[in-house]
Amino acid sequence: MKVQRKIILLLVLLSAIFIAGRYLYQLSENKKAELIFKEDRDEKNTYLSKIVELKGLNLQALAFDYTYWDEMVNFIRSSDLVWARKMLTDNVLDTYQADAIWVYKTDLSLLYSVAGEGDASLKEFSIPKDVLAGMFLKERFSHFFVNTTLGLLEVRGATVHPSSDPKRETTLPQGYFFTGRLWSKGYLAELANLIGGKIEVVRPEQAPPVSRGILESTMFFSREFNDWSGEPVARLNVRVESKKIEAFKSFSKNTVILFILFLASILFVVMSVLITSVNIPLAMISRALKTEDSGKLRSLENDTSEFGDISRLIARFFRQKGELVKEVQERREAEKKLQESYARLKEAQEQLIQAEKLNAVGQLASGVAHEVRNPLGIILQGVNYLEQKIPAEQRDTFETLAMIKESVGRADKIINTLLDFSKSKRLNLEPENINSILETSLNLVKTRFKSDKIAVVKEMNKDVPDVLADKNKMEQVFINILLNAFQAIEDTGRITIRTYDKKLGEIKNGIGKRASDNFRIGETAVIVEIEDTGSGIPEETLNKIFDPFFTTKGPLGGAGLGLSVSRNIIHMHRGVIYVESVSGKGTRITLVLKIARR
Amino acid sequence: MMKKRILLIDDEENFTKLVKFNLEGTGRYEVRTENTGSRGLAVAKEFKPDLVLLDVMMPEIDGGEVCYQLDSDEETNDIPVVFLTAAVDKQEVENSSGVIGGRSFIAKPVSLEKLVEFIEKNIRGSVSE
Repeated sequence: MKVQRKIILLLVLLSAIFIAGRYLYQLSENKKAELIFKEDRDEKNTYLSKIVELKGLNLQALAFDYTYWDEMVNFIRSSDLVWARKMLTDNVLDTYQADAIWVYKTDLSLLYSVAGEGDASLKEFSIPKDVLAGMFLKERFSHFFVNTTLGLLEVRGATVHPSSDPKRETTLPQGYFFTGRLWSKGYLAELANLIGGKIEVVRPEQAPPVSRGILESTMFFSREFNDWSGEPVARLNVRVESKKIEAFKSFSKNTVILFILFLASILFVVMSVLITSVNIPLAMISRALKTEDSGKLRSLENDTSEFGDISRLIARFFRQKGELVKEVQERREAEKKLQESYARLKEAQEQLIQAEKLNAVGQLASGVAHEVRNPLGIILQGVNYLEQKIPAEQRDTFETLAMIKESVGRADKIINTLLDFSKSKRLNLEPENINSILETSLNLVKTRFKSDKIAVVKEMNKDVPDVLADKNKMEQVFINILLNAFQAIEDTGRITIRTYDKKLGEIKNGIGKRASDNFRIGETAVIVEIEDTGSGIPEETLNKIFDPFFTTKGPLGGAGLGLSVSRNIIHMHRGVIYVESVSGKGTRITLVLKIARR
Repeated sequence: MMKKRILLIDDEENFTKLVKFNLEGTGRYEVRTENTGSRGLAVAKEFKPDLVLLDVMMPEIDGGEVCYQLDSDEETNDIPVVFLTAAVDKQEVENSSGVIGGRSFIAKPVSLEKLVEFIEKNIRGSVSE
């Protein structure tokens, strides 16, 4: 994996860790918020209870104060409504902020009731006898709520006792006293104002609203109010906006923003540090390695980090590699030169051997020439002498002498050929048409081989450029080659003579790039090919065919100087001759000749 | 007509004999033969030939030396000398019309016919002289 990818992965991992941390933090925050919320709600709940209690104090006081009073006992006992109308008036209601008062006799019948001006219907409110009978069996006070057509009514009740028994322990109840207060809209508004939220009264079976989310700042709580039998008759729903949660929320929001900013800046710092101190140097090193150019590491040269070390190492490596490559190249060149000079040496050696052979032949030839020509001279003079001495009619003798003379001539010719061979002679070079020289040579040879069984195919390019040649010498060469070709074919066969010019592309002995080569690669030369379908030359003798005195034709064939002389002549023309042969299939002799420059 | 005198110096005795027979057989020449250079030089002064036929390769004094001495002696320096040699390339001699280095050469083996032709071309009193 590339380092860059690793760094990115690392950063992603870091971000994930940060985010996970942030999540855990958020969880704890939420827990805290929940606690705060609960605490706040409980506080508000308690507060509501206190308010309700406080607000209910007047009513309670009324129910308490008016029920351990002898006058009240007397009133109930005497049913003196005059007293009631004088004592239990609207003023009392106003004083205690109550809306109605009901007084029951001990036989559980309603004796007297009074209500506020707008609430006259409250006077008709009554508690069923069976309910009232059980209401004060255990307690001397009661507190319950009743739904009326005017709204929710809070009622507080107490048993009536003489003044001597404020604790209502020693005497039996002398009557029953109730006072009520309507939870009017104004009263609810007052409560709401006190608690700092909204309050509504609903039916008890209606479910209380619930806080929607953890960080929801709106708190809901409710209070159930029961009737005299303990059954719920109404529910007080309170909705309060929590200031604490709001503050907490805004703080939390700020911390989120701060956290994101913090994370981003940390990532940015880590990223830029990694990029500048790891990624960029690595990219440079990678690029330098790919392009094999240590120049790309120049800015890291004085770096003190590990990358500096690496880049210096790479620079050194490339330098050493360059030196090595150079050295290898030099060695290769040296080797090539060595090979070339070896080839030249070999060639020179071959030439030297050839020259030595020629020299030996030359010496031999001149020795032979002297030693043989003298007796030949004597023989010839002797024949000349005898020719004059014998009578003209002795024809056989004359014929014999003629044969001797001819033999002398042949022997002399051989000696001349030997001398020719060993001597290099000046050439009479002229631009010549190679085709016409070939034609002349072919005609000369054909007169000796009048065979219908040997077909001569001429594939001579009419537009072949003139060559620089000694016509007679070149004829001699072609005659030699053609003679060999004809002689190589035992019965039937074909001789192909081909001429064309071409750009030399193949390195051969004498064709190449060395100064000693007669032809350069790329030079255009005239090519002559003489091909026969004859017996071919065995591989082992192929390299000997240009040697002087080498012959395959047996004692009657020839002196074995033809191809040797031919090669000398071609070499004197600064040409190349080579032979290709497959034993039993045929032979091809190829000449490469210089074009005559105009 | 007086016979022309020819001195033939060659170490091949058989050759000199046969050439003498053949040349004299033409009836036009009187031929003296010697088989060594020194003898040849001596005879040249005494015999006063019209032409010296001189072999090149001889033991003791070779043909070149004989020719030099003939040239340096006032008595003999006007005698034409034709070299007769087996060591010279026949083709070369033919190509140069028998003159190499200012000297005439005849390459062995030579037929009588050719020899006479050459002698006539070079001998004192000939058309070409």
